Amino acid sequence: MNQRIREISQLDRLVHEPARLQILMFLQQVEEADFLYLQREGGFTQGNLSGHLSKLEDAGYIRIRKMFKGKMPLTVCQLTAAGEKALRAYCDQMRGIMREQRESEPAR
Amino acid sequence: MKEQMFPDTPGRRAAAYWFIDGLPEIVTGIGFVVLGGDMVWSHQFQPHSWSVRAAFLALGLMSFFLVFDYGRSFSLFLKSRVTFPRTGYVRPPSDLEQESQRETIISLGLAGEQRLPDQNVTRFRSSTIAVVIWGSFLAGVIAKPIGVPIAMSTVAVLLYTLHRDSERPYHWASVLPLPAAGIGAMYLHMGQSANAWCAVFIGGVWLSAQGAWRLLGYVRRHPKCEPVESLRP
Repeated sequence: MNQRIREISQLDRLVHEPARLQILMFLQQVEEADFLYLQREGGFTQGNLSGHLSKLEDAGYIRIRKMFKGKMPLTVCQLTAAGEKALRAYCDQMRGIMREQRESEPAR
Repeated sequence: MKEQMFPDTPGRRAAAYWFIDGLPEIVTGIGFVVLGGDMVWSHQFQPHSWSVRAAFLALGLMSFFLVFDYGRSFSLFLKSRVTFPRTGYVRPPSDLEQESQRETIISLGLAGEQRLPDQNVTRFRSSTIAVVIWGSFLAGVIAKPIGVPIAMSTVAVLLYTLHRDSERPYHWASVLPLPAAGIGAMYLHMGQSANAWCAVFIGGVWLSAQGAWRLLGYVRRHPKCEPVESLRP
């Protein structure tokens, strides 16, 4: 039990943050999406999403391609293999912790 | 955007997003209208001039390829001008028939690993295009004027039932014009082959109308605005 609780502190904080987790899980499902779609889908503000995307890109979890469609800037985000691996590891870790927690709950 | 997208998972929402503006239906519908109209016209009036025949054949072939091959690319071209500047881009859903069952974790569920196949997929080809084509075969096989209303009624039932849980459901009332148009076509007293193509024509008009209605609502809800995106330089 204690070991599992200690594992909480070892969670990948980059992934653990709800907005970033949402972005990663979303990109895992749709493969790629642009800034505007992510913003609308997640209900983020422009600055908030921009900050989270930058952090995820710095960590190598997502790939950002900036291009133009005519005069319109298009920022397309894609989950990288490292991002997918981090997300899977995080899910496994959380699942283990929650399972342990459920098993150790006193019967009421 | 969200108010229209009932599916819960991101993959299903992305698949539904492909149909949010009605453009795929308009493109396919126009293809069917041109193909069906072209063939009905040439069966009814049977032009003698080889150049007119060649023109009809070319038009028919173009619309055939628009429906079966280039429809998605053309929809994407239109979407990049209409939809993506308004509500953003997401990878279009792949056809379910071609989709490899890619496993993904989408939940932190506690009851063991929950692995689901890729959900950003669509059955548009098999549940819409194929149904209209199948309806035209049925109208051609029943070698009587009653064949068209029977075929269109069957198409209406199939379109409604096959799409009930799909990424693009149709309201029951929205498929009623199909049998009504079939009954109208019955009184035109066309030949057997023309009946079959008439079913394609009716299906195309119906699809285009569905798409146009969606597009109108979408454009009204999402007026075009200047792009606001920005990212750390």
